[in-house]
Amino acid sequence: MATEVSEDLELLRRLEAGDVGAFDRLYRRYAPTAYGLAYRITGHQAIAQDVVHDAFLAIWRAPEGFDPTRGAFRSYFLSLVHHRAVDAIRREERLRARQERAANLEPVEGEDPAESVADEDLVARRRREVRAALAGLPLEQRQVLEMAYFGGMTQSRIAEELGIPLGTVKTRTFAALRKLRRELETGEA
Amino acid sequence: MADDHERIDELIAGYALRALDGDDAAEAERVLTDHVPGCDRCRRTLIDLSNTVADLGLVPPPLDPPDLLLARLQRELEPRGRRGVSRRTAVAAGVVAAVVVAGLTLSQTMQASDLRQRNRLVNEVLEYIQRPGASTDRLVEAETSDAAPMSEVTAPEAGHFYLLGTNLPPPPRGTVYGIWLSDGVESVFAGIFPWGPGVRIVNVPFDRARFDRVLVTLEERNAEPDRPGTVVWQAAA
Repeated sequence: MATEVSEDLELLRRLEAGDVGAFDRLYRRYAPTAYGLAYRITGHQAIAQDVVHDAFLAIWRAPEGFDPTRGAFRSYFLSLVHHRAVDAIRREERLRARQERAANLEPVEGEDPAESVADEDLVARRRREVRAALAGLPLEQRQVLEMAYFGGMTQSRIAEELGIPLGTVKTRTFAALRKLRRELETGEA
Repeated sequence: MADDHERIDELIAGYALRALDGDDAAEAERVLTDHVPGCDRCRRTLIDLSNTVADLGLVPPPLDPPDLLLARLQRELEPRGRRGVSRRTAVAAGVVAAVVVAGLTLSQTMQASDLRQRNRLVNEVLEYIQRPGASTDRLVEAETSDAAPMSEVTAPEAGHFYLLGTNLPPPPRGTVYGIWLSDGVESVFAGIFPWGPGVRIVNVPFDRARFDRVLVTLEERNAEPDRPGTVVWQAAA
């Protein structure tokens, strides 16, 4: 993990100096993860491409926006992608179609050809840890987390969809994130 | 305070997921502005939960984007040299300059030179709002979440946005309206919003990768604030 962090910092330093080669390197490192995330959220290739495009362009224009004291660059960048993807689907109001498509096109775990060639070892390990931690959550906690993060739903919409009080959604959401955090801290140790 | 912190924890979780709306979104804005920056516990919670949420981005299988996407990006990478000023300085200085140039009243009392500037600025806003995805949103009162007499005009990927104030009430004696850009943890002073009758427009350069909200505050006249004063109006940027 330390190597990933130090390499990212070096690439960002070069990016601030306008080094296009550093941009290409960052792109190749993070584009598959970013595109996978954007596609999962939007369920639409063109929109997902726009999301990834916009996120990378934002990094090129303002690499100094990343603050290394607040976490890894990967976290920062995936947050950018997530926010843009959620904003995109809320704008496009394609929730229903997206959910249907995403359900039909969900790749089978371990059978994604891109995963073996595009993932780097450290990211791949972290990916496994996060998936395991998410899978280990109680179903009701995982459900609200996935509806919010991947579904782009607000908590009030989730409460409506599930027919449960808004307060319950809030409590489950925080409990889920706290448990995930603890599990992933253990994984980092 | 323990009960407050439990409530704030839940707000931060919803905020980190971008899943708040209505009263909760307004409450989170208040907490992130008034409480979190001065509370080590909540600041840590915000950073931890934000990083945990970001890790969820690793769950979907990675997919190779089309080759055309990198080619498209490479065409759009405008060349630039090494930057000599910090992000905060660049953003803040840029906004202050823009406010001086662009803070114009559209009242009946304008001079001819003001009129030319106004026309240019109004044309800018009209052109801006034609961009794909551009939108106009009302700021809300910090205390009540009621609609504010100020709107923001934003567009995806634009390096700036516009604030439009309509018949703004005068701020209390000895104070001015301050503009702040914030990410919930840090806030950067971006200049002064001029008040007065009619419509006033300010062009705000904006680092979209860094900030996600705009605050309008009360600041002491002629002071150089290092943290936001009382928040009057606010919105996601």
